[in-house]
Amino acid sequence: MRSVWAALMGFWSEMMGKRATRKSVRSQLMRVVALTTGSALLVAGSAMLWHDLLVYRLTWSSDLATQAGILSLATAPALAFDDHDMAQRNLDALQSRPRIQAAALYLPNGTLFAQFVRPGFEAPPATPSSRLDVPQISGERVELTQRIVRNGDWLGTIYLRARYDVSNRVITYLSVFTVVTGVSMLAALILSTALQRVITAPLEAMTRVARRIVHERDYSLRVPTSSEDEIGLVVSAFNNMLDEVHSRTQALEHANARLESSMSAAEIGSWVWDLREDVVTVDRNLAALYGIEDETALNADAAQRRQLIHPEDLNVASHTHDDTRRTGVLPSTQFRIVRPDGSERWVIRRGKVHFDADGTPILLAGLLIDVTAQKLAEEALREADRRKDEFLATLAHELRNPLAPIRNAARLLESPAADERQKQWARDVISRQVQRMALLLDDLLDVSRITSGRLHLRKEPVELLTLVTSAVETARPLIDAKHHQLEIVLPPEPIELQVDPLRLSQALSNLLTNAAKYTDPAGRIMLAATLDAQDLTLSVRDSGIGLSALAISRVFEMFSQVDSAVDRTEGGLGIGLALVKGLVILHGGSVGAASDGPGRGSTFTISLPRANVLAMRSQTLPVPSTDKLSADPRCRVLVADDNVDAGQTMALILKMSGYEVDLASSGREALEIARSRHPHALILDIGMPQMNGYELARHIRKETWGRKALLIAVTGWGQPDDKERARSAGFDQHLTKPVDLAQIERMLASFAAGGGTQVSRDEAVPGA
Amino acid sequence: VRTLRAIVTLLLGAWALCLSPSLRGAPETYSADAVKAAFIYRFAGFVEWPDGALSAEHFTIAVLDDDELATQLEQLSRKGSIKKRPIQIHRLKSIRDLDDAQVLYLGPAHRGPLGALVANAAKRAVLIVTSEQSALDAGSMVNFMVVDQRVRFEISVDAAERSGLNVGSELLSVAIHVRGKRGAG
Repeated sequence: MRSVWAALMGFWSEMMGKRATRKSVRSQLMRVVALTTGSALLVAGSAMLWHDLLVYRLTWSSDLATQAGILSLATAPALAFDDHDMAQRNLDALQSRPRIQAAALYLPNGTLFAQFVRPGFEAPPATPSSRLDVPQISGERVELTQRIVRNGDWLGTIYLRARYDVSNRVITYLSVFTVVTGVSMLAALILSTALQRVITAPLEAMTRVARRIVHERDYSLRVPTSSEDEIGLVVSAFNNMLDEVHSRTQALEHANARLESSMSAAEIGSWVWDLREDVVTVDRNLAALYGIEDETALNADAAQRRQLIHPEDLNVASHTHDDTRRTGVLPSTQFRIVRPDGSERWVIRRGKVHFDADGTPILLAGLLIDVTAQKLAEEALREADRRKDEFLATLAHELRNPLAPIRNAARLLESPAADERQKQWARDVISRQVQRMALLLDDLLDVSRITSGRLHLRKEPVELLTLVTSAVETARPLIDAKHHQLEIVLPPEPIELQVDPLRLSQALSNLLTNAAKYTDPAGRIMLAATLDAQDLTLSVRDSGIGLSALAISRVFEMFSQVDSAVDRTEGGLGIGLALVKGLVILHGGSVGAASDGPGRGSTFTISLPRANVLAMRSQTLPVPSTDKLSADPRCRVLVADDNVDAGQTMALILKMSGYEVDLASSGREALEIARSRHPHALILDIGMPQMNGYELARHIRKETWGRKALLIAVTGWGQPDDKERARSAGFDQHLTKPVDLAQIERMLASFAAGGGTQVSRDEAVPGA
Repeated sequence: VRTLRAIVTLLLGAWALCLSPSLRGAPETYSADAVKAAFIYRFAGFVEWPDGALSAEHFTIAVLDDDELATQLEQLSRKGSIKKRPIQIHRLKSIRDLDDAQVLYLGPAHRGPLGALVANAAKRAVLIVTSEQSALDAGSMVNFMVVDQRVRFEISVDAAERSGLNVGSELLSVAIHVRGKRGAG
């Protein structure tokens, strides 16, 4: 009943036109039902009223005519025989007919014969009307005048007047019609309310779902389907559409999320600049580039966007609206962003201009790409390039420096005026300078190997004392030359390490050399070793020129030198400390530098993890002697090198040491000489024409005498592969150019002493 | 239909107007004989004769001993018919002249007793109308009398039925006195 009432009210409002906007289907259907039912009822009612009035009139007319006829019959004798009383009695009988108001009988000559008048009504006319037989309706009454004819004899005329109650009839009819119409409409509305649910219920369900989707963006909602008619089809089509929208929305969201996360990973933000509205819209990634959480803040505030751009880059970054309007081009630009936390980011802005049909720019859209890493790399490359340039200059200088004394010494040696003492001095000069150049080149090669990852450690157990002794011996000449006082403090108990003795000793000697260099003459240098739970720490302390804070941070970098120290030092490539750092890191350790400031000395430390410490032994191993080995004159040596100078030099020095030396400049020549001379030791260059060192070695090992010979390979390649290759070709030793002659002499001495080829391949070779 | 009816009504009205002057030509007040003649003329409409009595081509009204009335009747007979037959008025000299008539009026000036005349006539199916005191006793069927200066009549149903005539109830209702099974006697 409430819904009927609501429907009625809705219908009422509809009719009153109060709900001009958004009519529901339900109310529209109601309106249709009400209008059609109402119209049908109105038409039917009007037709029925018209018909009823017609019938009423006809009925009344015929009724009156019937009464007149009856009265005619009844009164005919009275008229015929002039019987007033009878006639009067006949008329008085009309008393029982309440509708009859008046009646009269006239004679044919027109005289009134008898009459009947109901009290309160008008009397009949004195003479009969000439309008016969047809009921005359005037207002509320109907009159009929008829002749009374009997047997062809006109006896008289009868007049009857009756109440014609048409208005009453109409009123009654209209009230009945109103009630019927009301009830019919009510019934129609109730019925249609019940029936239209079939149509409106799914529609309303659909409307509800559509509203919820609009508000909640929940595309998983569905309208329940019930019927299989057109509405059911519409509902299922709607649901299918929702499926489609849902899946597409999801796909779009996934794609967006993927794109956003990809762009986020690539540190790319996107922006759109609507030129017409002058509104900029940026995404979250771009806000993140700016170091700002909420992109809406950036969207809203153009001043803030400007503020976040590096002041020096503002001109570049602010490509103005007008320029873009004029040119239609947005050039790709690089600028810096200063984030709220103060950090700087380099970004590239790229964008494209969109035009409308008239060719007017309307939209700019593009990306902001974070290129900070590339920029930093670029700067680092520039810095590295600059340092390399400096290094090359330094290297040229360092390499050239020894040449002047060597040339002078050579001239002096050539001079016939030079006495023996002067010649000895010249030889010393040449030897020292060559040594210095060799050290320089060794360092360079080592650094190169470390940098390119080609340096491999050969770890073996070694006593700490051995290492220190070796390092001190290497550095001793410079320390003594500058009259420094060296103090060495080691733990009382012996410490055995598992390290590459050659490399670690090199690192330590570098530190000592460094300290000697950067300390004014007669300074103090202290080398100390301490062992704690974690580390073995070796420190070298000097009373030298010290380091500034900036220098400390860069002192271990490649090609760096303490600028202020250049004038007053012995020069150098600035690679010594870098080499130390590289070697120590290869051992898993770390280096450190400390200073109380310029002029107040510095301390360099090497920290090695305890893992490198094997044990602490109680007995002390004898320190390997570096005394000159005496050559065994019975030992014959063959030197083969296609570089005649290198071969001759080596042969000369070995001869001076007392060996019998033969020289060959090719592999084939070497083999011939060897077959005839049966040398005890062969020092063979690998890269020779006709027959290389490997083939030569194989041939020699096939000879009976050759099986016991000492074979030393000399190559420019120091990789483990090369060494393995040499070993498999039959070499006992593998030396990398440039060859330290002292090392060869030691090998030969050791071979001579052992009387065979059983020279330890792991022999520690201190010094470089 | 209405138009047709209107036309018919118009035609009927016109016909009535054509007829009316001859009827209106009647004098304002009628003589007793004129009234009686009219009554006699009208009686035929309310009385039924046996089948055989109406076989003749004419409806005959016989009048004995009343020339004035006969004259009145003759005037009336010219204007119409009774029972779809033309009207003949027979002036009788004697009751024996009574031949094939449907109505017989016996004037008050007759000689001899009324009863004999009636008895003679009553053998036939003829409506006997008289105009004298106690005529019904003598066997008359309808007898005129003047009451309050108006012509009235009395009827003997028995007498009529004896001659095979049937007097209609309408006629009886306007009679001032009815003798017989339907009247007070």
